[in-house]
Formats: sequence, structure tokens, C-alpha cells
Amino acid sequence: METRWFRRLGPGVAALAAIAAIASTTAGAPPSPWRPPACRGEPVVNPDTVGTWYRLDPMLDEGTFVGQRLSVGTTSASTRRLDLAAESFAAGPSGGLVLTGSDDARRSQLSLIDVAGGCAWSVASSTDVIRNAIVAADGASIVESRVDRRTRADLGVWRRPLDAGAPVRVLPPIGPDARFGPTWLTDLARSDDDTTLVVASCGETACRYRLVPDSGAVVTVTDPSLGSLVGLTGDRLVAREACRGLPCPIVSLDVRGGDRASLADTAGRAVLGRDAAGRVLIVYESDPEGSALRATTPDGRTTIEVAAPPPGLRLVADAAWSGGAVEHPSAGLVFGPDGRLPVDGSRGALLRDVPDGVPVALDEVLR
Amino acid sequence: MKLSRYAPRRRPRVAVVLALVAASITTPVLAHDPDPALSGGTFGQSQALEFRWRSGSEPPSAIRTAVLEAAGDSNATRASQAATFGYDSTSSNPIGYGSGTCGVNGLACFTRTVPTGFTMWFREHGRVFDWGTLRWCQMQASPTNGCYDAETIALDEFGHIQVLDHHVNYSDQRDYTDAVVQTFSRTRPSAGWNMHTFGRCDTATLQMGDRVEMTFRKLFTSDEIHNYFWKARPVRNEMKKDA
Repeated sequence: METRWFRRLGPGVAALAAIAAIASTTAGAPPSPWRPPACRGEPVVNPDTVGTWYRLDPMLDEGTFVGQRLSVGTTSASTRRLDLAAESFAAGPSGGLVLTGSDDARRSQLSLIDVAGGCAWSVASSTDVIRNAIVAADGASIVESRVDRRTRADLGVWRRPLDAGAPVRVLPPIGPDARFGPTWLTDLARSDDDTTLVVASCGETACRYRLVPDSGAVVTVTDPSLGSLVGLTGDRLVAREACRGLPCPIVSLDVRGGDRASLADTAGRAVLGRDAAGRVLIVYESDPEGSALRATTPDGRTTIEVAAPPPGLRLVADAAWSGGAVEHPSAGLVFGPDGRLPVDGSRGALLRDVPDGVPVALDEVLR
Repeated sequence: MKLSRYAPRRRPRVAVVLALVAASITTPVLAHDPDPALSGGTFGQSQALEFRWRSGSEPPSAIRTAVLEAAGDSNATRASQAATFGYDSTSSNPIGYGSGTCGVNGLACFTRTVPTGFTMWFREHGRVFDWGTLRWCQMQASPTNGCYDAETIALDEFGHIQVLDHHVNYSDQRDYTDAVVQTFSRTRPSAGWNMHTFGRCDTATLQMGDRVEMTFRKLFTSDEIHNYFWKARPVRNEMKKDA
């Protein structure tokens, strides 16, 4: 009698036990990386989009950098995570899209991720190493910097149409200059009015700038005292001095007239913002711990006190400093733990209007 | 009458000469001068600064060892009353492994907040830059040419945290090894790639602002005439106490 019940119930109990065992071992495991399905049609950059964000984190194997984990999301959609190669980058978001590049040591692959749509377009594959890229101001092309796969020589900056047209070289390779040393990073950015491409070729501490306007001649700024970019507004290039750490002075340079203004002697992280009148301001941490903020006009003539960051948070600066970015109104400042967007994106980060100084949760306002 | 070697001990303790540091900020720095000084002031004389590993971004063992050794290098070779560094797991000054506050900068970076603290970050072994892949010698079983010495770079960062800005070298770089705190870090096996002591142009700046006392010293002898004069030297007891 008893053995008969064992024979009938035994297999079911064993199966349930197996399921429980599998569940218990996978419950604590990280979710497998997201592989976005292909988007239909052509990429569409929607300039009115806000709330899309991304964050990059290193993946280490016993202290060796083996790749990057990309987290993407919107303030109203759940977070997705992708694993990128060691030689990889992310940029944007631009109109709801995050641009990624990942190199498998044979080819570089560029993808545009439609975060809200949950899909991606494969937009380029190259045997040269694509080191960095951004979506161009026209929303119809990508600007990318490349190096030679074997020699790591600079191959210049290229514009690649999103309609699969042939890439066109925008800038030639930058020549060697002992005052700057080898190029560590080619930073790409757009001016605040989207009319000029900024290419910063940065050595160990100092950067050379090439400014490519939509129309007109390229402006080159070769000043070994200049470090990383804060922004380009009008004719004023705003940059840190060539420091190896913080605090660091911030200066602005009139790239047409040559006038140079000191904006801050000891600044931490810094961003471009706008006040209630739409006037461009450089908002910067006035101590290296980021517990106080100040703002100045690009010519340095007017300095404005700005309310301190919300408790426990600090200013989220550009991706080079924060490892991520969120699309938000230009009059807003974003604050996050340690100056980064939280891993789950919007939660825990605050957006604060430069003009009125009232902080609100990021996911409350960016929908 | 013969004078004794030392005049009767007078201790007119000279006030801290911070003006010297300030002057060095505004005066153009020439090649092979003492390292320029960063703005933001200096830590207290012989102030003990502690650090811990940054939670969630703790450096791997080989880098931790290099940082600890660099802290010892700084303490042993500062030749001044500059601050000292030591590990304390309860410290509020984190040292991390990753990008942190480095921005677009290369190897490593720091923040300094006089008089309370500092942070330091090291880029990860294996991170790829335009020029190639960063290798820390300490992370390799057999260091290869082209790797960076983490102990040297950490000593450079500790120098920045003290007050040192990048040394201005002669155009042919022949004085490169007179300073650890350099704009361009050298890789194995270039001269200066593994400096584990501050150079004389580093310590010259670290000594600015040190407390000194006056001493009456025989400076030279000429035609059997001994020439004596006053000379400033670091306060003896404080140097002993620091050592």
C-alpha cells in the first residue's frame, strides 16, 4: 500500500524539488543581458523626447577591465542591461535613442537603441576601430572618431549618414604634439545651440580642440593649458584647465577674438545650464566635494550663487564624469548619488530648475 | 677668541611662510624650478591623513599594495613637514578603482579638500584608450614594456594631494627624474618610470611653509678666518617627531 503511493507520487515530488532547486539557484543570479530585437524602418530621432537615460559600469575579472555593462531606461519604462566589449562606448541620449559602439577586436559595431521602443538599429560595422561617436545635430547622421586597428593611429573624424550612405571624413587625423602627448580620448560634443561640432583630442591631461561649424571654417585651439570640455556656447569655449584632479580652474576662451576669462579658480564638476531668462550659465561645484554650487556667465563677468545640492546628492555632469546621461530640459540640473545616475536610472535622482531651485524627482517630471 | 660651532641656542620660530606658496602660484614657473603649487592651500604640518578603499570600487590586491607602498614612499621621502598618509578602514577619504572623478583624464586622478580630506581613483587595468590598452605593471605576472608602475603613479597622486602641481621640465626633459609629479607619466623601461621617492623639485615645494628656526653657523673659512652667519633650518624637534 505505502510503496504504491510512493510510486505514484514520487516522480511528481522529485520534479517539484528539481524546479525549486533551479529557482533557488537562479533567484540571486543577475538577469541575462538584454539582446534588443531589430527595430523596423529607419531610425527616428525625436527631438522632444525627455527622460531617456543610460549608465555605463565597468565589468571586471579579478581587477582586469573586460567589458562594460550598459543600463538604459526611461523614467516610465523598466531598466534593461546590455554587455559591451572592453573597447566600447555609449553616447546620447538623443531624441530617445542611445548610441553604442562595441568592438570585438575584429570589427566595430554601432547600434542605435530605441529605449522606449525596446529595440535597436545596427547602423554601422567597420574594420577600423570606432572609438567614439555621437548623433549629429541634424539627427540624420552620426559623427565618429576612428583609429587604425593595428597601429592605433588616428584616422580622423567621420560623418556617417543613417540612411546607409558612405561615410565622409570631416576632420583629418590630428598630428603629434609633444605638449599633449598621445591621445587618450577623443571627446565629441555639440555646441549648446547645435550649430558646431566640438572635437577634443585629449592627452593625459591637456586637450586640443577643433570646432567644426555647420558653415564656415574649422577653428583649431591648441593651448596646452586647456583640459577637458565643459561646453561650447556662442563663440566661447568653456573648459577646465589641464588638471589631473579636482578642484581645477575653469576658463572660457573666445575662439574668434582670443579673449580668455577665468570663470572659477577652484571648481569641481561643471555643466552648462540656463536661467529663467534663457541666459547660458556655467554651473559648477565650488568645492571638490560637491557640497556647494555657483554659476557664472560664460564671459565670467557675473557670478550667481546657486542653492546647494539636495542632501546626499551631487551634480551629475557630462558622461566623461558621470558615466551616463539623461535627456532633460536645458534649464534643469540633475543630481544623483555620487554624481551619477542610479543604476535603476530615475529612482533616487532629482531634477532641479536652475531658475527656481525647486528639486523634484526625475521620474515625476520627465514623462 | 674662538666661537663655538653653534651660537647660543635661540629659537625665534619663524611663522609659517604661506606667502611663499601663494607667490609660487602667481609667479610664472620656469623649467626646473620647484614644482608649482596647486591652489587651495596646504594640509597642516605633519597632519596625518588616512585613507580607505572605496566601497564597491575597491582596487585589486596588487593596486592596493602599490598604493600602500606609495604612501610609505611619500612619508619617507617628503623631506619636510608635509602631511603623512596611512591606511585606516574607518577613514573618510576613499581610494577607488574605476573612472570616478577622472573625467577624460588618463591614468589616475584625485580630489583634495584642505584641510579635511582627499580622494583618489585609478583607471582599470585593461581599459582601452585611443592609443591602446592601459596595463599596470603590478597587475601583470611578468611586467611587460609599456606598462605603468602603479606605485609611481600613486606617489604622483599623493604629491598632488599635498599641494604639488606638475613639474615644468627642461625642453629636453633631462631633469625628468628630479620630480615624480609629472604631466606625462613614463612607462617601463623609460627613465623615471618607477620612481619611488619624491624628487628634489617635489620636496623643494613641500618644504615651503615648513616651520624653521634660525641657527648661527660657520659658513666658510677663508685665509684662516671663519665666517659665521645666521641660517634657517627646519625645527629640529618637529623633524625628529615626524620621522
